[in-house]
Amino acid sequence: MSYYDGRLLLTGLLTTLGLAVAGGGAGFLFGFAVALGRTTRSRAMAPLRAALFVYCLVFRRVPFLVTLLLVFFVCQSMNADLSTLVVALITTGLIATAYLSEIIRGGLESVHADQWQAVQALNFNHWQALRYVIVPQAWRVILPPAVGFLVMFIKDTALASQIGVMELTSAGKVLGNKGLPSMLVYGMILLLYFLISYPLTRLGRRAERRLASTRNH
Amino acid sequence: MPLLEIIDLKASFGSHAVLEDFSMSIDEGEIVSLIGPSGSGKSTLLRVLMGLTPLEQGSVRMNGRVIDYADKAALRALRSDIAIVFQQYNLFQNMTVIDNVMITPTKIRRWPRKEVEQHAIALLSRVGLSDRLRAYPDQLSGGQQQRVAIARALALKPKMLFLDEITAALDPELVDEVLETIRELSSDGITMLIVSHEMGFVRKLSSKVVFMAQGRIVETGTPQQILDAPREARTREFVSKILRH
Repeated sequence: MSYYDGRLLLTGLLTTLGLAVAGGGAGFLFGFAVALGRTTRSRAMAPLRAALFVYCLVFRRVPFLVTLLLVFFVCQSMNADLSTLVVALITTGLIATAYLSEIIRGGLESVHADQWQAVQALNFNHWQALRYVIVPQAWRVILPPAVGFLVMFIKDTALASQIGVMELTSAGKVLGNKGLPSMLVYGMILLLYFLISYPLTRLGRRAERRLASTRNH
Repeated sequence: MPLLEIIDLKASFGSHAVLEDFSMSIDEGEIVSLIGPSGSGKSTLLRVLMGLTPLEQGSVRMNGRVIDYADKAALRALRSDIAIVFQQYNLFQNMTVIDNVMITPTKIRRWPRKEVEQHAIALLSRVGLSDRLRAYPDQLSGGQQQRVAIARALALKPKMLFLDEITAALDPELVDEVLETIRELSSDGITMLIVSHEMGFVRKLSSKVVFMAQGRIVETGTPQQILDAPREARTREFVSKILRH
């Protein structure tokens, strides 16, 4: 394997990581916003709630690849001159937001209604309640499924190869086409995916343990 | 002028009225107990007064001023005058004992941290928990949690304390430690509105007892009048039932 092959593989690895980190990061950020939007109660927010509901409903039920192609062709039809990498980033963001918002919403709703009643009686406003009481308790419920989703999500970014993004799987294909033994190439790809995902799983477990220790179980 | 005045209050769940024609007043320093069968609207009254359940009709005056429950600022002011202790304690599970007591004064009221901390420690030692400051709620017994909840309410220096069946969720052997705490606090002269089924406690502590049934006041009087010589048949029936246990 040449130096250039190695660089290609490294580029692919970094792209996959970038897609996962950016998509996951955006997913957490926007997912939180979507979840908070969906927990509002006022009548004025009803149209927003409905829109967010439909968004979550649709994007969690459409295959990653279909969303990817849809974003790709929508961008193309709007003559938006975006690189395939940007298209892939938008897609990963859209999907991660839809999934994580549901996980986060579930976590927020898992906090007992008594806690809301107490913060209300103690004069916390909505944001203070979320910040000091609700979110810290929701984390331990959010974290395990969120990590599970992100691990799955890293692997799903492989589909970005379908629109020509040079991520890890594409890099493997290129190397295979160049005549390197497929077993070796895909064996390495497998190892690399594992190397990205495994630490995340471990990190998640550690965070879970730390959160659990703030509460005696 | 009474500290709290309730005039013709009405509240419903759907089409079912849970409070009706409810009027009473509480003077400063008074300890008023609400007694009555389950579902008579005692806890609902406390929730309505705190603005946790909407009132349908009637008005509430605090220090002579009518409270507009739709006005957020008025509601905030009311909730800083009145602190409530719930049946299920409702301590914040993600915080230690001391943080549960300190969070509202420091983060919501923005009182100076040093003073709040001293006050919190003093309150917690008063309720007998000075050795559990760093414990989390679920490391404590129900009675201890309820005592933390009492300290949390008092940390806000309220003018009035609402106690909503604070021993109802406790194992029998833990009831006394909580009641003892309240008994001890009552000597401070803080105004209290108590919902309780502990008749011995009601008798000893209250300056006034209100018996209610089906959302209405049936009879009001001193503990001796209500518990020993009730005038109304319904009161007699309730009192004889509950005293037999």
